[in-house]
Amino acid sequence: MNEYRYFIADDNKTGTLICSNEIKGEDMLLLVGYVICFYNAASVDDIVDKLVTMYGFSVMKEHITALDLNTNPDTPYTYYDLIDEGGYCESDGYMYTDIDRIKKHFSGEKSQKMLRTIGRFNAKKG
Amino acid sequence: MRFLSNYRQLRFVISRNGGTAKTVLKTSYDIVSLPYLLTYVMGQFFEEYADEGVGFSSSELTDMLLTMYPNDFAVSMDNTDLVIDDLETWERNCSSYDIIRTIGIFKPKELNLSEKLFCKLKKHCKQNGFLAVYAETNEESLIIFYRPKSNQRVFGIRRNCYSKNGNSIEIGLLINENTFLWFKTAAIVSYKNNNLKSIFNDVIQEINKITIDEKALPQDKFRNPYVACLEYLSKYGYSIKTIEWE
Repeated sequence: MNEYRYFIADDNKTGTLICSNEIKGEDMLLLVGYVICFYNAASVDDIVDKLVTMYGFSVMKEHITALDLNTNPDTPYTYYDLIDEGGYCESDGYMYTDIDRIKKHFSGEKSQKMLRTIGRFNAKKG
Repeated sequence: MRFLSNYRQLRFVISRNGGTAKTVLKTSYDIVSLPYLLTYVMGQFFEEYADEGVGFSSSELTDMLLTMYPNDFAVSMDNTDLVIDDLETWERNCSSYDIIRTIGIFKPKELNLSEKLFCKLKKHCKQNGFLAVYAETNEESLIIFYRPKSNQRVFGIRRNCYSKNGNSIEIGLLINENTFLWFKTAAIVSYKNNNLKSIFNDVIQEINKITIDEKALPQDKFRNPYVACLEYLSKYGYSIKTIEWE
């Protein structure tokens, strides 16, 4: 079974490492955008909470810095950027998921309308 | 010319393998959401034509956007800001198509039964080697179809919205009688229920009867069927319309 790892972080490069067996990188960009936009989730904790409680993610390591993540032998993963790599990630890696960059990425009016009306993520809640 | 209301409009042209569509479009979509919309439209097309091996060009994709989203896209006379390769966009986003296909704002306006039927009929005509033109007046919808060769008959499928006979579709031929061009009804299909498939099958059955009929009279044939089609539409005040998957 695949394990897709995401480091949900803010501008300070501090965040939480989470994983999913289901949501791959190409879909994660839309999902994080949706959670930010639809739930007005603003902080790393808010977003992680929604991803865990509503979309089946598991927390691997909380409140760590990017430096810790990249140097600690407990987390020997290769770095991939969610936006720059277009969601592509090898199985030994994690995706750096900068919530502030994602907010900016989807800041257009039409992008926000698009995110709010993604039926698939809405259905997940049920 | 139609103007979009948004103050900042993205101007773009669709390309494929280095060749670009002729028309520059302006849109209310931004640079992030537009590729998702293109993926949606292309995916819908691929689903619709999954077993039929029908493709589309970058110009046809441009026409689809104008037809399906008239409030979000318009032709621009200005230079383009952006060139988007449709197949590259599809390859990049297709793995998320199951999510993209559920995006509410991408769903085009739902067609009514008559519009759905005429889209389906037009598609059928084109897939069977006919050229098909769709046209409307305030009261009628009409598809004219013909084989793109000289000396061919010209057929029509007509629906009058205010017919005294209730819901019915006429199937017929264009006739040129002493230079008088008129529509001769060969069959009428009446329907009471809203079962699209059943109405479509009944109409196709009647179309097959008249198109397969080899006993065409010389006066039923037109040297240039396309010109005859345009003459007829012009004479009776029809406007040619683009319908879905033109």
